[in-house]
Amino acid sequence: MYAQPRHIPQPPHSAGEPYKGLRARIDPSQIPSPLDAIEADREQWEGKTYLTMPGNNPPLSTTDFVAIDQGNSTPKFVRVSTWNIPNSSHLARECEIPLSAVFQPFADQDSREEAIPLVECGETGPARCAECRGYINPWCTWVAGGNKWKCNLCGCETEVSQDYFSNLDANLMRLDHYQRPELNKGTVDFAVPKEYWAPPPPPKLAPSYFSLEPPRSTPREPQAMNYVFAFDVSSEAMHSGFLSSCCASLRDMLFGGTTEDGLAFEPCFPQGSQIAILSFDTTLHFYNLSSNLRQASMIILSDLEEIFVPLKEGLFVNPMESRGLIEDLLEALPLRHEDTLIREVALGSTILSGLAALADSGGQIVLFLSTMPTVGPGALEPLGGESDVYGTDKEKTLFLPRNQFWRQVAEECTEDGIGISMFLGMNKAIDVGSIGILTSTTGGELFFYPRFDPSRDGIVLDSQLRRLFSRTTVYDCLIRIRCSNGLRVSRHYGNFHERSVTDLELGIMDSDKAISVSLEHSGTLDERQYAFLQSAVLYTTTSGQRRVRTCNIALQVASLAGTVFRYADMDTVVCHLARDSIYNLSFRRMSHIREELTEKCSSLLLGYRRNCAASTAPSQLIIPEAFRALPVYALAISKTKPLKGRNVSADVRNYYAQKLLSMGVRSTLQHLYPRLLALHDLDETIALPNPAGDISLPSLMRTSHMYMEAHGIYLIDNEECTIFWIGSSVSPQLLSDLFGVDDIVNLSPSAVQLPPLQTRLSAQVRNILAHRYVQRGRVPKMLITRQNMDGMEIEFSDMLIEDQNNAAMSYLDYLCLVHKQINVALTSGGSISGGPSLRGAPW
Amino acid sequence: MLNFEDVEERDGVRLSWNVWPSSRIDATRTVVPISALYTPLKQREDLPPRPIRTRHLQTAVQIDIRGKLWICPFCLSRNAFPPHYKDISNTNLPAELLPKYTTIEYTLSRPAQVPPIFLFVVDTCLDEEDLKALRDALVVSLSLIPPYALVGLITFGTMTQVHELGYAECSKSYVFRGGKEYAPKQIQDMLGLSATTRAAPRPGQPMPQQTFGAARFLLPVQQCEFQLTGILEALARDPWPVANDKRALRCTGVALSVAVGLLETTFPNTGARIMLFAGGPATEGPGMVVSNELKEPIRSHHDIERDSVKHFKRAAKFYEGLAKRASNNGHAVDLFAGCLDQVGLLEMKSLPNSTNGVIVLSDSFATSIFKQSFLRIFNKDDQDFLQMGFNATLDVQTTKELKVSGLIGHAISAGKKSACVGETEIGIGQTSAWKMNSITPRTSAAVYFEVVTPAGQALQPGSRGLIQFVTHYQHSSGQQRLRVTTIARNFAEAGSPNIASSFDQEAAAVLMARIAVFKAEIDDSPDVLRWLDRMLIRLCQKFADYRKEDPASFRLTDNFSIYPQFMFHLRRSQFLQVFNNSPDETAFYRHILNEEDVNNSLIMIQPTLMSYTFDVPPQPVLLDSVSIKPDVILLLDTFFHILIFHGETVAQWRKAGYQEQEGYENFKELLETPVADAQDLLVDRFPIPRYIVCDQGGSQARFLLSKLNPSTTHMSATMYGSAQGAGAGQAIFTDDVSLQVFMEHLKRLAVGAQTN
Repeated sequence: MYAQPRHIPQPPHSAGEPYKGLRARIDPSQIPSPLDAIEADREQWEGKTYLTMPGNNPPLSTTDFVAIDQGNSTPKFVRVSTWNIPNSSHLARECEIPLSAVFQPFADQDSREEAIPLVECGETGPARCAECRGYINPWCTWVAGGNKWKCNLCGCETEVSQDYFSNLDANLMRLDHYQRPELNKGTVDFAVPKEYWAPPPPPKLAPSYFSLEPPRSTPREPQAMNYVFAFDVSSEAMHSGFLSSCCASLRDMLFGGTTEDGLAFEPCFPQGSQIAILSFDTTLHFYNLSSNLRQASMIILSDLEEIFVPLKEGLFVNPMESRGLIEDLLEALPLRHEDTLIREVALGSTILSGLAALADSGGQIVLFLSTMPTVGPGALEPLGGESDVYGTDKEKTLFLPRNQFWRQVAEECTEDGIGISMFLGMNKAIDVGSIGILTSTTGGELFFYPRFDPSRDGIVLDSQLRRLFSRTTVYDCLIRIRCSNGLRVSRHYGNFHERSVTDLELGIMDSDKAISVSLEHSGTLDERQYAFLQSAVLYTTTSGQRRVRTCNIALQVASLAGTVFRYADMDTVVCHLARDSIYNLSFRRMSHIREELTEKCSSLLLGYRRNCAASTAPSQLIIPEAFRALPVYALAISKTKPLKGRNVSADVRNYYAQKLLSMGVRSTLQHLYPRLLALHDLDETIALPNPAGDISLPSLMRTSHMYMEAHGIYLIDNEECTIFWIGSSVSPQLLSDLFGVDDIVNLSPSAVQLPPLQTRLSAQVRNILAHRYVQRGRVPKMLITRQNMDGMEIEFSDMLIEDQNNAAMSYLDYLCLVHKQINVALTSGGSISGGPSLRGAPW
Repeated sequence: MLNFEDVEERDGVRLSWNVWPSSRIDATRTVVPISALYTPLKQREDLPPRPIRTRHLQTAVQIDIRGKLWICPFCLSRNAFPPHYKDISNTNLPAELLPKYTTIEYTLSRPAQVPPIFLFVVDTCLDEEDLKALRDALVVSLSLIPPYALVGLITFGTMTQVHELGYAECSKSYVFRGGKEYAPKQIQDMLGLSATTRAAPRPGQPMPQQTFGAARFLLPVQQCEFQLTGILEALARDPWPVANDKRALRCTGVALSVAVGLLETTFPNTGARIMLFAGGPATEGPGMVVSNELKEPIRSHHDIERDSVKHFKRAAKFYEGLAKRASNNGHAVDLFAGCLDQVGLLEMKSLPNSTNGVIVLSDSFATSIFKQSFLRIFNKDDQDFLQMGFNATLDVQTTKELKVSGLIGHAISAGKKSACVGETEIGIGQTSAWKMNSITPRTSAAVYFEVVTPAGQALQPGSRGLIQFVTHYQHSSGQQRLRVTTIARNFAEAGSPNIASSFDQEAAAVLMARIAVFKAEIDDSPDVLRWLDRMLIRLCQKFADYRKEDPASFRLTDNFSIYPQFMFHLRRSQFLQVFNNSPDETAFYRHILNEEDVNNSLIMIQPTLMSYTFDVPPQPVLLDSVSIKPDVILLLDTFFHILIFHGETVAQWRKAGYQEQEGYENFKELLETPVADAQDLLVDRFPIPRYIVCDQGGSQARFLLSKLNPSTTHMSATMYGSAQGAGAGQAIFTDDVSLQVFMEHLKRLAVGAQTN
C-alpha cells in the first residue's frame, strides 16, 4: 500500500510531461488513493445484499455484490452520477457534477440474484402510458379505483385495459400487486406481441444490394438469431496464420473439442441459430452447406458492385445438421488458400452480401479480417502521413470514416436488425477509423490482434469468440430512455445508430455493452418526490422472442449541494467523462480535450469547495469523499490510448475509443486504472479456498514504480491485457514456483499460459486469474516482461497510471495542477473553464 | 447429259444449271440464277489419301510437265511445282491432277492442334423429371465426346453459374446475376481470365498449376469426367420459389453471354460449340423474351406483325450481338429446346443461324426426339472421329466469266472482297468467303453466281467456266484440313437447247426456296409469294412450249415438269406460311431448310407419301387428298414429321384386333411394313422427326391433311350431297386452291400477256 523504501526509479523510456513551475511539496503517500475506497467498499458489501430502494449509496461498480430488486433496477443495470438529483439546473451547475446515467440492460447478474422476470402480456402488449408511451413500472400509481394509472414519468393518467384491471386495496395498491413482477421489479422483460415486430425499413431510392424478392413489406417475424461468418482469405490472413486460427476456433465453438491437455469442452453456439459461411478476397465465396450434399459447394461472386445472394437453400443451415460439411469446410479453408497470391479484399461487398442475406431475418455478421479493404465498394486508399496530422485541426479526421460508404452500410445494417462483430488480425494499418464504424454503429464488437501471432493470440481469440456466443446477446434492438418531468436526455453516448433524437437503434446488443446518457433539467424538480428514469429496450432474443426490457430507477431529489455530493457516484462520473472525451475526438483536437478534462475535474472539485467547504483556506486542497480518486481517473482518461499524446497509431486509438464508448462502468474503471498485484509476497492463505470454499483475493496496489521492488513479480491487468512483470533481481525460487524455470534468462517472454505447477504460488495466481475469468468471461491477452530486458516493458510501464508517462504528468504533479487551477479560481473568483484561455470561444 | 446425282455423290454439288449462258443478259433471262448447293463435308468413301497442301493444284489446271510449271486458271499466274512433285510425269500424276478426283482433301501441317470444345449451357428451371432426363443425356454424351475434347459447364436459372471443373477441392462455381447485362470485359474479369489478375509469382515459388485461365473451366473430358459427372448428378432444380402466377426466372441471355464471353477470351478463333439446353423462355435480364408474369402471354406471329411485343426487338438485337461475337470467333451455338411452349427461338435464331449450330425442338428433355437428336450429334465416322468440323471457312473462286452473288445458309460473311465478288447480291453477299463455325456432312450451302461477260462477245468453242470451293476447317481430331472441290461447266450461246436441258429442277427448286425464305425473313410473306409466282411464270414463259394465248397448248419438258408442283407446295409450306405455326416453329423450320441438301429439302417442300395396301407392293402416291382411301395405310414423311395414317377400314380392323388372329397374317404384315419403313427413314435423320400414328378422322390426321393437295374440298361436293365416288379421296376443309387450279392459272398467265 505504501511506497517501498527500495522502490524502483521510473524507467527513462516512459516519457511523460513534467509539471511546469513550482509545486507544493506533497507526501506521495498522502495523496488520495483510488484503491482505498475500492477496498473499503468491498469490505463493506462482500457477502451482503444490497436493497435497491432509493436513498442509499449503492456499492461501487468494482465490488461484487448481490442485489435485491425492490422496484429500482440494480446498479448493475443502471448507475447514475448522483443518487440524489439536484432539484434545479442552477444547483446542478453549481455542483459541476455531470448529470448522467449509464444503462447496461443486459448486464450479467450474480448467480445468487433473482433472474429477470418475464411478463407475458398477451395480444395487447404491456400497459403503456398514453402520453409518453412509457412502460408500466413499480412507480406508477393507481387512481380512479384502479381504472386508471398515473404515469410516474409524465404524470398522465391512462385507462387500464379490461383484462389488466384489478381492484385496489386500502393503500391504493392493486390486489394482484405481488403477482405482477412489472409492479414490483425495476427490471423486467415484457414478451411483446406482433405489433412490436420490427417494421420494414423505408424504401430506398438506390438499393445497396440486389434482391430477387421485393423488399420486405411486412413486419419482421422474430426468429432465432442467424449468424454469417465471413473469412478473409487473402494472403495476409493466410500468412499470419489468422485464418487457420479463426477457422479452428470457430470449429471448436460450434462443435466442442478437446484442449491440448485432453480436456473436452462443450460447444457454446446458441441452439436453434443458423449459420452461413462466406469467405472473401477480391471475390466473394458463398458455400452451400445443405446437409444433403457430400461436400460444401462453393459459389463465387465476382461482381463486387452489384451484390446479391446467389444461394437460396443451403446458405443458412443448422450447424449440427450440417456438422460434417462445416467441419470439413473450416478445415479446408486455410489449405485451399495456402498459395493464394491475392492481397486485396472486398470487405464492402462482403458486408453488403451479409446484409442481403440477413435482411429478412436480422442477425449477426462475424467478420475475420486481416487486410484493409482496397477493392469493391468503400475501397480505401492506404493511409499515409498519419503522424503529420497530429496536433493540427485535421487530427479529428482520424476518427471519422474516410469513405461514407461505411457509415451508410452500417446504418442500413442496423435498420435491418443486423449487428457486425469484427475480428481484426492484421500486420499493417487496416483503418479502424473507417471500417470500425461497422461495429460501432451496429452495436457489435471489435476484436483487435495487431501483429497476430497464432501461438500468443490464439487463446485470446478462442476465449473472445466463446464470449461472443455465450454472453447474453440480443438483436434487432430499439432503445429509448425516458425521464420524468423536469429532466431530459441531452445526449446519448455509446455504440449505436441514433435514428432520431430519442431512439437508438442497434443491430445487436450484449451483456458487456452499456449506453450512457447525459441529463439536463427542463424544469425544477419537487424535492418531495422522486425523479425517474426508464430505459426500454425492444429486442429479439437469440432464440427468437420479441421482448421489451425496461429498467426503472427512482432517484431522490436534493436541494442542497452537500446532499448531491454525498450521494454522488464517482464511477459513473468517470465513465461519463471518458465517454464524453472520446465522443469529442471527432470534433476537437486531442490536446484541447485533455485540457478540458482537467478543467472539468477541477471545476467539480471547485464546485464542492465553493458550496460545501467554503470556509477552508484556499491553499488547502479539499476533495469530497465521493470524488477522492477523481483526479487520478481524470489523469488516467487522458493517458488512455485514444486520447494520449505522442504517437499511437490511428487504428489503436480508434479501437480503444470504440471500446471505451461501449464498456460498462466496471470495465471502464478497471481499464483506466489497471489492477496491479504483487505476487511475490502473497499471504499464505490468500487466493486459496478456505474450508468453507470461499476465496479471498489479495488487495490491489497503486500503479506506480514507486511502490514496486526489483525482486518482485507483479501482475497488471487492464481488461485488455495482463502482464507479468518480473524484477531483475527476482529470486529463482519464485520463478520456479510460478513459471517452472529457475533463471530469469530462461523465461520465455512469449509464454501464453501459466504452467500448471503444484506449488502454492502457482495455485494462488491461477486462482486469481480464474476468478477474473469468471468475472469477465474471457481471457485477456497475456504477456510476460522482464525488467530491463523485454520491449513489452513499455506497455507495462504505460499502464502504471500514477507515474509520469504517456505524455502526461505523474499523479502527484497532476494533483498539483488541479490544485493550482482551483486555487486560482478561488482567489480570482472566476470559473475554471472561463479562465484566461478563450480557446473554446467562437471568435 | 450429266447425271446430277452422280455429280452430287462425287462432289457434293448440285447446280441449277449445268450449262451456262454465255452472257450477262442471257443469264438473267434464264430466271433461275446460276447457283449451287454445295455440301462441303459430303461423305465419300473413295476420297484419295490426304496430301499435304502446297497450293491449289487441281484437275482443271494447265500443267506443263516439262517446265514443271502449272498455271492457275483463276488468277492465271504461273507456279512451279513444289519439290515433292519432282517425279511428276504424264503417267505419274498425283491424285489431285486426276480427273476422277475433282474433290481433294488436304491435311495442313499446322503444329498447334486444338481439340474441339463443347460448352454445355444448362437450364435448371425444369421439373424434376425433365432435369433428370437432361442430366442423364449429358452424362451419356460425355462418353461420346472424344476424351481429348474440352468440355465446360454453365448452368442457369435465376442466376448463371459457371462451374470450375479444374478445382479438385470441391464443386466451385462463379455466379452471375440473371438481371444484369455484363460487358465482355467484366465477364473476363469476374472469371479471373484477364492477365492483370494474375499476381506475379514470388521468386522461388512455383506457379500453382492450372489455377489460371481457361484450364479452370474447360478441361479435357478424360481429365474432368469424374468431377463433371459429379456436378451433373448433383445438379438440382433452381431453388428460387416460383409463385403460381409466375414463370420461373430464367436468365438465358446472361448464360449465353457468359458462355460466349468465356470462349471468346479463352479460345478465340478455335472450334467450339456452345450447347444451350433451354426448358423455357428467357424471363429475366438481357435477352428476355417474355416477363415472368403468366398473365403476359408469349408472343405470336400476330403480335409480332402488329409490332406489339414488348421484348422482341431488344431481345433479338441482344442475341444478334452475341451471335456476331460467337461467329467471329469460330464458335457455334446449338439450341436444344425442351418445352411444350415456345422458348424464344425466334429471338435466339440468329445464334444458330449465323454459326450453323443445330436447333432441336422437343416437348421435353425426356422425349426421345431430344435424347436421340442430341446424342446423334456425336456420331462418329469409321475412324472414330466426330462427324463434324469446326471453325470452317468456305472460299469460292471463279474464273473471270463468273462472279459470286452470295450465299444462303448458316454462315456469316468472312468479308473477303476478292475479284470474283459480283455486283448482284443474293443472300450474304459482298464477299467470296464465309465463315461456318460448324460443319457436318449434312451442311449444305447455297451459293449464287452471276455471269458477267457482256453480251455480243463471241463464245470460244468449248469454253468452260470453273468454280472452286475451298473449305478450310478444323477436323475433330484437331487437324486443320482443306477440302477443295473444283467444277467446270460449259458455256452455251443464248437460246441453245443445251441450257434448257441442263436444268436441274430439283436443285433449282431448293435454291429458289432458299431465296424465298431469305426474303421472307426480311419481307412480308405476300410479297415473297408474289415474287415466287412471278419467277415461276417467267421461267415457264421462257422454257415451256406453247402458243401465245392458248393455255391448252402449254407443255413443259421433262426436266421442268415438276418444278411448278414444287413451287405450289413451297407456297403452301410452313416455310412461307406462318399460319398455325408459332414463331419458334417457323424459325426452326426455316433453319432446317437452310442447311439440308437437295433431297432432304425437297422432302420438306413436298413431303413424300407412300401407300400400303393388300396385294400391291408399297408405292409412292400423289400428295393429294385423293390418295386417302379407307383400305390403305399411308406413310407421310415431311422430314419433320413421320406419320402413319390408317384408312378408316384398316383402322376398324386394327381396333377389332384382326392382326392378332390367325389367318390374318397378311393384315398384320400390312400394319408392320410402314412402321419398319418409317424406322429406316429415321436412321440418319436429324433432328429426329416427330413420329405420329393416326387413324382417318382422328385429330392427329390433321398433320397429313394439311400437307395434301386439296383436290377435293368441302366445296367440291355437288349439290346433291356426297360427290365422293370410289377413289375420290377425302374432302379437306380448306379454302386453298388445289394444284390443278394453280396449274390452270399458271398456264393462262404464262401464255398470256406479260405479267410484270
